[in-house]
Amino acid sequence: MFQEKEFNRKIQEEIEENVAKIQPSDHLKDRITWDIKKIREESVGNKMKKWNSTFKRIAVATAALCIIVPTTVIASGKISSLISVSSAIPECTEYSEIEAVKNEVGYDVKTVENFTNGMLFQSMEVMDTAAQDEAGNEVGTYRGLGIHYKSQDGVALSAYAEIPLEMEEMPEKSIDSTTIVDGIEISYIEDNYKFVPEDYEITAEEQIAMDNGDLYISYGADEVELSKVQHANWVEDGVSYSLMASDTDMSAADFFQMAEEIIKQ
Amino acid sequence: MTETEDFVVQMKQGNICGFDIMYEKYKNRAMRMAYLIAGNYADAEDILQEAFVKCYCNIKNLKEDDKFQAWFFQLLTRTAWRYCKKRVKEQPVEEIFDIQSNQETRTGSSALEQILKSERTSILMDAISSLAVKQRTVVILYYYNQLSISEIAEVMKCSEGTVKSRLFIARNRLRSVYNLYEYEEETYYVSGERV
Repeated sequence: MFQEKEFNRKIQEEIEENVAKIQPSDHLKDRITWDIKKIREESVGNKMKKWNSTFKRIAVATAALCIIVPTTVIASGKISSLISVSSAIPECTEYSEIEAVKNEVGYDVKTVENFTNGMLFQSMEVMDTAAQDEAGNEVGTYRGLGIHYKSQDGVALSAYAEIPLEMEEMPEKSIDSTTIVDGIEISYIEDNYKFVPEDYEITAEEQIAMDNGDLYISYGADEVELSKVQHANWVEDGVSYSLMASDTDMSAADFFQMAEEIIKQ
Repeated sequence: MTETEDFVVQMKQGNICGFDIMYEKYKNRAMRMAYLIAGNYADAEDILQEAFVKCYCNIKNLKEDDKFQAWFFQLLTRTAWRYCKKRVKEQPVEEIFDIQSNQETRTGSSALEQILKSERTSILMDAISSLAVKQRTVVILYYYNQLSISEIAEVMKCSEGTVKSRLFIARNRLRSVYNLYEYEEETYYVSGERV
């Protein structure tokens, strides 16, 4: 019969011996890295919530002004979501490189280095976006250009381009105001967003607000965040532009002014 | 700052290098734990994958950096329990012996000793495998991870009394199996044949 101590030692030894050669496969780390990469991308993608059939998108609390231009024709299939992924092309902080960046995008788009209201160029990047159908299958990709601006007091601005692709019907949001510059109509909209963790349960009240297009809920945040998003949108020469900012004191007139500065380039 | 706190801070900052260091440090122990709880290699790898991904994604929820190990083992065991619940185990003991049989013959062991050891191991692992999953987890954390009762209680989010009780029951079960085997082995040596 074993004494207690001896018994414990034997159990321990035998368990250790039995699993001594057990190791994770060499591929496991790649699988984990891939999963993490996917989650990070989806998290960004979730925060890049589309909210109507015109492919407007939003970034949470970003300090960005992005002008995204479609460069690749999307394959057939109804697109229901857009996942933004980082391009392998590094972010550029020198506006003097704008032509090289535009070449990477493949389109000539109108841009400004700074706005007269004090929004100053910070950086720019080529952005790749994957479009997915309802089943999560990738149905195409396109490339855009993002330009990031910030004011001296830290106010950030972002913009997104629209791409003329067929997309499933989403609640239409009424336009808050419009103006026309050089024959181009610019619309201004304010939206209320709620960014929530994956396990967040939507309340009945929120569902009604969502159905009415008064609230957009986006999953993927670490904690619940509320945000008022302002954006101005227009289309010129087949390229759709959006200027966007969240939780700022800027007015519709401010947005129209900045849009005009781009249009008059 | 300890090595653990260092990589935890890095991970919280989103630094993938911190994650890589942590992975290298814990991968084998975690894999073996998962294997012992789940009972088969394929599930163990899936559990490990899920646990490490959860670890990366939820590291910001870890309030005390120096409690990383208990937090990670907790995450791993809960993931493993979920797998145990949803899957029928796939011949865990036999699989253990497949690996065991592939191991090199230990120096200084006779063939007979090898066979006896292998047989004893089979009985022991079979006994561990037959324990209820929470008893099995206590055994693994106690004997393999060599955690104290209070550390096990922290990992399993239960009282120390519960850990002691589970360990007591599990140990009695293992002891009875072991004692029976020892009796048989003694009989074998005396009579020269299996009883």
